[in-house]
Amino acid sequence: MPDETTNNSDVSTLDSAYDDGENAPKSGVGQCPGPTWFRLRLLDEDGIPMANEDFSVVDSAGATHTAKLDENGEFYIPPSIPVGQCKIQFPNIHLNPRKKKS
Amino acid sequence: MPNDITRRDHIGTFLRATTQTHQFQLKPFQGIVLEVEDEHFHHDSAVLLPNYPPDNRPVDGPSLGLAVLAECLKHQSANPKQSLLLAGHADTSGADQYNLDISLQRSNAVLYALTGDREPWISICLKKHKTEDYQLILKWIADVYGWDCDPGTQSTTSAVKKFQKIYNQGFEKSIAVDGDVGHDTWGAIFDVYMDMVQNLCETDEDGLAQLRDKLNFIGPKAVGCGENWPIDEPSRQNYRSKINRRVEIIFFDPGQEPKLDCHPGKGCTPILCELYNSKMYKFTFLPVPPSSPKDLQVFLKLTYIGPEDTVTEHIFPTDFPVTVVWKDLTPHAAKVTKDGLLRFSIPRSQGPFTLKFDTADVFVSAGPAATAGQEKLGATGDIPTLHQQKHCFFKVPKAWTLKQSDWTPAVAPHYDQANFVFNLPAGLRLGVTLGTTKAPEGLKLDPHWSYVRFEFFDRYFGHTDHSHKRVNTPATMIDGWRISPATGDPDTRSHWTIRDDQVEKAVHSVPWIIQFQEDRTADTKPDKLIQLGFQNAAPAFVISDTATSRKVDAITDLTKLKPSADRLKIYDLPDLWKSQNYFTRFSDGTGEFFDKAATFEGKIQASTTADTPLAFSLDDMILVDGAFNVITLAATENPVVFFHQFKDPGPGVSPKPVSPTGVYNPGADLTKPYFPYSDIVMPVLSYINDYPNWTRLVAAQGNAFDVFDKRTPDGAGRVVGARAAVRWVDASVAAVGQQANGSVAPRPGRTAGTDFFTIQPFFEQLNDQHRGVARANGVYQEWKTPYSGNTWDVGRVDMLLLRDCDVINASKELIINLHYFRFQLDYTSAPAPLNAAGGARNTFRQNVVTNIPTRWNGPDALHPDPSNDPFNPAPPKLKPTDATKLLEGGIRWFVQDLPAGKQHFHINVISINRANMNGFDGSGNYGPTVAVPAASASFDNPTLVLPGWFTAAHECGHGDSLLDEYNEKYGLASYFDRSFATWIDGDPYEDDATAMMLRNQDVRPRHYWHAVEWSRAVSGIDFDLDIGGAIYKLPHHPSNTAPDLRTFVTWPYWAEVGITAPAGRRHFDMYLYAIGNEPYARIPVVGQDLRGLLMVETKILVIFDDPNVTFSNIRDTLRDLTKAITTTFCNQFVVTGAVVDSSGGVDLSPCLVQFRPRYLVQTFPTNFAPAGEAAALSQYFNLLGVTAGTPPQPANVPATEPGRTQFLTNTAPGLHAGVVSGVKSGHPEFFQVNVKPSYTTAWDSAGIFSTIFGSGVTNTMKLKDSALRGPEFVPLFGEMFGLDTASGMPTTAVLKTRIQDRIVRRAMSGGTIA
Repeated sequence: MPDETTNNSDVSTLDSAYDDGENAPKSGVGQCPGPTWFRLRLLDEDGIPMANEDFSVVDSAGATHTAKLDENGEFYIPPSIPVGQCKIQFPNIHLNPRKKKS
Repeated sequence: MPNDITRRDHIGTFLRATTQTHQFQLKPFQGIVLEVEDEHFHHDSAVLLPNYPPDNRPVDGPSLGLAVLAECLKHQSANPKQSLLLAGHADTSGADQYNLDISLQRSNAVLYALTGDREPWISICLKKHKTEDYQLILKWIADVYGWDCDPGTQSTTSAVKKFQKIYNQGFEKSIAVDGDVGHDTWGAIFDVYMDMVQNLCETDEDGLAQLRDKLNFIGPKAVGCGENWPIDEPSRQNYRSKINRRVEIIFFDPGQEPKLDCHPGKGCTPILCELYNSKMYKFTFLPVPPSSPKDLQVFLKLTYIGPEDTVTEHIFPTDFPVTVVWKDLTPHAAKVTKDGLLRFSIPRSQGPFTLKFDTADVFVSAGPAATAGQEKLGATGDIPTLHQQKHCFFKVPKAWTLKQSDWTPAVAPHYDQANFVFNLPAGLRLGVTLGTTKAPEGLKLDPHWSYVRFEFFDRYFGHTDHSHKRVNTPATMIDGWRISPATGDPDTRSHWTIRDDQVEKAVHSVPWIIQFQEDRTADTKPDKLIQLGFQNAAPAFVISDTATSRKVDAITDLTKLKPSADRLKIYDLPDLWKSQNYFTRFSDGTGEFFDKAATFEGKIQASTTADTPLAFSLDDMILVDGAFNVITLAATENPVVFFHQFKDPGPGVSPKPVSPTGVYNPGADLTKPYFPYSDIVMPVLSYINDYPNWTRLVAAQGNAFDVFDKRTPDGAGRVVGARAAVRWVDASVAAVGQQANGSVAPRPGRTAGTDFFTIQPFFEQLNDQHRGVARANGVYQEWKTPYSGNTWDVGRVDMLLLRDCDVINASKELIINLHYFRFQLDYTSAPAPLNAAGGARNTFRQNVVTNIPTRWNGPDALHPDPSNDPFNPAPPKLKPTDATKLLEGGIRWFVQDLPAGKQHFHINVISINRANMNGFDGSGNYGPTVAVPAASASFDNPTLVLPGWFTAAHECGHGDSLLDEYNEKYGLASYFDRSFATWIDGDPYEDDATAMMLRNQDVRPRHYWHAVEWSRAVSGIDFDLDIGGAIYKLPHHPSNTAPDLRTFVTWPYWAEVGITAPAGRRHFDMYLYAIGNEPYARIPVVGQDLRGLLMVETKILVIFDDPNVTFSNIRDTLRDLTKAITTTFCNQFVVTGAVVDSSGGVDLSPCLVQFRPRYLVQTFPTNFAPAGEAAALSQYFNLLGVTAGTPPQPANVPATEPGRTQFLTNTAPGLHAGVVSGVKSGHPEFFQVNVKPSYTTAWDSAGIFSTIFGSGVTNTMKLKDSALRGPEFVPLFGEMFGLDTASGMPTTAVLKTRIQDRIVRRAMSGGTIA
C-alpha cells in the first residue's frame, strides 16, 4: 500500500482504489512507484452521471486529455502514468444544457 | 479535498492525486418563486391584469395578480436579507426580439406596480395594451369595488366613463370623463391597483410605502427572457400560450443570487442563463394567499400623560391588550404594536366601534427612568424584574372603558367624543383606513396622577449631603384603594417616582384612572375615601449606595444588617404600611391624620400636583412595649425625644434646638412632672410626629424607647408601618422585679432588645473585695456599721448601649453608652426658698438636671477657663482597642427629674452638710447649694479654697456606681485622719486630692472605666477610654459580666489581708492596684508615670490616758504622726519590672509602694478650756452624728459634764464610744497604742492579743505622747509591717532592701525597688 494514498488525509474514502469495484486496477498492477492510474467522475445536481460533459485533464506525466466524459460520466487513465497530480477542468458545465448544442 | 462544485466552477482547475477515483458533485442553487401567472397577461400585451378572467377566477382569488404583489411585499418585509429579481417571459409566437421586448415590458409592468412607479407603468400600458385588458380591469373593479363600470352590462366607453367618474369621486381627482383610456385613465387604474394592494397588505399608504422601501433587488430589478424559457410545450415554436406569458418574482437567500451574464444588455443569451438551468437552480414556490378584499384597517395610537413636571406623553407598550367592541357589541381582541400603534381591521359594517380594557393584571411601564423606546408590558410576576431594572410603571384597572376614564382625542377626526366611539370613514376605496401608520388617530389618557412622598432620613448621607432633610424613598410599589377600608386587591398600583435628583421635591406618583361611573356620572379620585399603602413580601430596605443613588431592595447577606457604619446606609422599610391613622403632612405645612376629616378632602385633591404632595414620614414614631402593644402616655407625661448624637449638634443641623444632652426642642416649663422634656405636641399620645431629623431614643414614663429598625405591625385601629419606639423592658415598675424606691435584690440583668440596643436597669458595680468575707476570727468587713448592714449597693442608673447612632470620622459607627439617671427631687422638708414652688425651686431643678451632665459629659463650660485645667477636659469616648474596627463611642449622662414611682433615687432637698445618694435603697439627700459648682473651702482645711467644687456631681457619681475615694476621716472617730474603714480597700486614690469622687472637682478616666467595661461586656468589643486623646485602659476583671460588674478600679488586682507571721510583730494588709494612664498616675511621685499602686496599711487603736488631753491635742498628734510616717515611707519606693500577672499579661511597672496608718481614737477629750476647742468639738460631734439635744452637747459639756467620766474611762457607753465600739467590732485586728506623758515608750508585752496575733506577739505599746507626735514612732510603725527597726531607723538603702524583701516580694512575682 503506497503511503501517499493511505496517508493522504485530503483523500476521501471514496477515492480509495481498493473500494472501487470493477473499475479498480487489475490485480498486480500499479503498485508504486511504478506506473499508476487516474479516474474522475462527474455527477450533476441530481446525482446523475454527466455523460458527454467536456473535460480537460493534464495528467501527472504532463499529457493533456481533452474529451467528453463517458456514458458513466467518467474519464479513466489506465496504469501508465507516474504517481503524482492531475489537473482537471470542466470548461462547459456552466452552459445551460437546454440551450446547449450537444 | 472537497469535491462539491457548482457550475460556476467551470473556470476552476482541480488538482487531484493519481491512483484514485475523484468524483465531483455539482451542487444546485436555490430560489423562491412567486409567479404572476399565465392569466395575467393577454397575448401581445404588457398590461398587468389584476386577476384571472371572471370565468376562470379562483373563488378566493378575485385579485390574484395583485395579491402576488402584496405577498411579494410582505415576503420581503419578513425576509429582509433575501434579494429578488423579476423575470418576464413571452410565448414563442412572434419574433425573438419582439418577445424579448414584451417580456421585459411585462416584467417592468410588475416591477412598477411593486415599486409604485406610476408614470413608467402608465407608459408601458399605453405602449402595449389591448382593449380586453381594460375591459377585464373594469369588470374586476365592478366586481370587487362595486363600481358601476362593468363593460359587460354597458358599452366599454360608458364603462370607462363611469369608471373615470367614480374614480374622481373616490380618489378626489378630476380626470376627464371621456371614455378614452389614455394616460390619465391608465393612471387611475394604477391608483385603484395600489389601493387594492394596500388593502391586501392590510396597511395604509404609508405602510405600503414602507413595504416598498424594503424591496431589495439583486442588481438589475427586472429582466426580459423573451421566449427562451417556455413552460408549456417548450420545444414548440410559434406557439401562442398564455401559460408561457408570465412574470416570475424570484427571491434568493444571500449567496444564492444568479449571475446574469446572460443579460449583458438588452438581449438574452440563454446558454449562459443560470436561472433557467433546471439543474443549476432549484425553485420552491410560495403560495399566494386568498385575495379577497380585506376589512377596514384602523390605525390608532393610545397614549397617556406621564406624571412628570413637563407634560409628557407616553405610549402604551407593545402588546398592551385592548378590546374592540364592534357595532354588534361583540368584543374583539387587539394589541398595541410598536410605537404605541394600535392597528386592527374591522368589517365596514361594524362601525362605529368603541374600546374597552379587560386588563386584569396588566402593568404599563414607561421604561427605565421613563425612557422612550423602552416601554414594556408586564404582569404581577414581572414586578421584581421591572423594579430591579428601574422601570417606571403602574397597573391599569382590571376592567374599564373609554367612558369611565378621561381620554382626550389627539387628531382623531373619527372619534365621537360625546359617545366614546369611533365612526368608520365612508368612501369608495378599499384601501382607505382609519388613521394611518404615520398619522394614527390618537387618544390620550389622563391617568389623574396624585403625588405622595414617603420621607425618611438617610442616616448615612442625610447630614452630609441632604442638608439635614428627609428624602423621598426610591421607587417602590405604592398601592391605592378607591374606598375605605382598604380590602382586597389594590385598585391602583404605581412604581414611579419623579424628581429623584431633588431631595426635597422627589415624589411618588399614583394614577387614579377611573374617574367616572359606568353611566359617566362623576367618581372623582383621589377623594377622602381612598387609602394608600405599600407592602413588601420580604423585608425590604432603602439602600443608599451613594448620596445620590438609592434603591429599594432586599438584603440577602444578613451580616450587613448587623451594627456597623454601613448599616446606616440601609433603612428599614415597613413590611406593610397603611395610610389609615397615619399622620399626613400637607404642602402648606399643616397636617392631620389620614382619615375622613372634613378638611381632608381638599388637601388630598390638591395632591394632584407634584408640588403639593401628601407627605408621610416613615420616621414617625409610635410608642410600644416589647410585644409591640401601643403605649399611650398621659397628657402630663411629656417625653424626651433625643437627637441621635445625644448632644447639641450646633446650629442648622436639627430643625429645632437641641440641648447639650441631646434633648430635642427642650421645654422650659419647670413645673412639668418630667424635666427635661421635649416641647412637642403629640397628635395622639402614642404618636410622635415632631422630632429631630434623626431620633435614636425616646425617654418617657421613666423608660427608654429604642428607635432604630422596628416597625409597628398590622392590627385593627393601629398605625401600621410607623417606626416603632420600643420599650424593651419596663425599668420603672415592679413587673421586672424592681422597686423604684427601696432595696433592689437582685439587680435586673441586661435586656438586649436588638443587636442595636441593650439596657441594664438599676446598674451597679460590685465593690470591695473583702466585704462579707468570713475569716477564722470573725466576719471582716471594711465598711459595715453603723451604715448599711451587710449590703452596700452602690449605683442605680439605667445603663444603655446604643449601636449605630451616627456615622462619624471617616465612616465609623458611633455608639453611645447612655447613663439615664432618674431623680425624684422631694422638697417636703426643704428650707426656704426651696420649700415653696416657684423660681428658686425651678432653678434648683434646672441646675440638677443640667449641671451634673455638663460636668460628667465634659468639658465643663462652668469652669472659668475650661481650656485651662478643666474639671473634665473632654467628652469621654470609647475607642476600640483594635484600631481597625470602624467605630467610636461616646459616654453620655442624662439626668431627669420625674414623678415618684419612676425614680432611681428619691432625693430629699434639705438642709444638710453632707449630701448623699444611696444605691442600696435609692434614698438621697441634697443640700440647697449642691447643684451649682462653686469654689468651696476644704472641709478639713478652711484655708484651702477648692474651685469648681460640685457636690451633686459627686453624689450622682455614686448613682453611677462610683465609690468615695477618700478615707472616711470624719465620722469614725479618727479625728480627721485616716479611719479604720475605707470605701475602697487600701484607699489607693486618696492622694488624688481634686478628684471628683474625693473632693468633688475633677473627673478622672477611672470614673468611666466601668462604663467602658460594661460596653465591652455588651458588645464584645474591647475598648480603651479616650479623653481628649489620652488613652486609659486597665486589665479586664475576670468577673465583669452582667448584671454585676467588677473592675480593677475598685477591686485590687491582688490583695492579702491580715498578714501575720508565726513570730514577729507585723500585722498589715496589702492591696495592689493597676491605676492606668491618668492624671493621678503622675501625682504621687514627680517624674513618675505610675501604673501600679501597692497600698500597705495597718490599723492602730489610739487611747489617750491623759485626762487633760484636748481635742486639738488628739487631732494634731495624729496629723503629725501621719506626716512623719509619710515622710519616711511614702512616695519614694517605686517598683519596676513588676510583672504581677502569672500569665505575664499585666505590667504594673512602675508601681509605687505606699504605707498607710489608719486610726481609731477611743478617747473623747474633756478639757474644753483652750480657745476654739468647743467649736472644733462641735464640728466633730456633728460629723460623728451626735445630734443636738442628745447629751453631752459639746457646748454645754463643761457646764453639765454628764459624760466626762465615761470619756475618761473610755469604757462606758456613749455617743463617741458607740462609734468606737461599732468600728472595733467590724475591724477587730489592730495595734493598740496607749499614750500618756508619763509612759516610757515601749512595746507592752502585757497587752498581748494572742487570739489575733498569735501567741507571743506583742501588739500594744505605751507611748509618751510626745513620742507619738514625732519621728520616734516611725521605727515602731516599721515594726508593725515586719521591718526590723527595733534598733532605730536604718538607712534608706537598707529600708529599701527590707521593703523589697518583706513587702514587694510577697505582693509581686518580680520587680525591684528603684
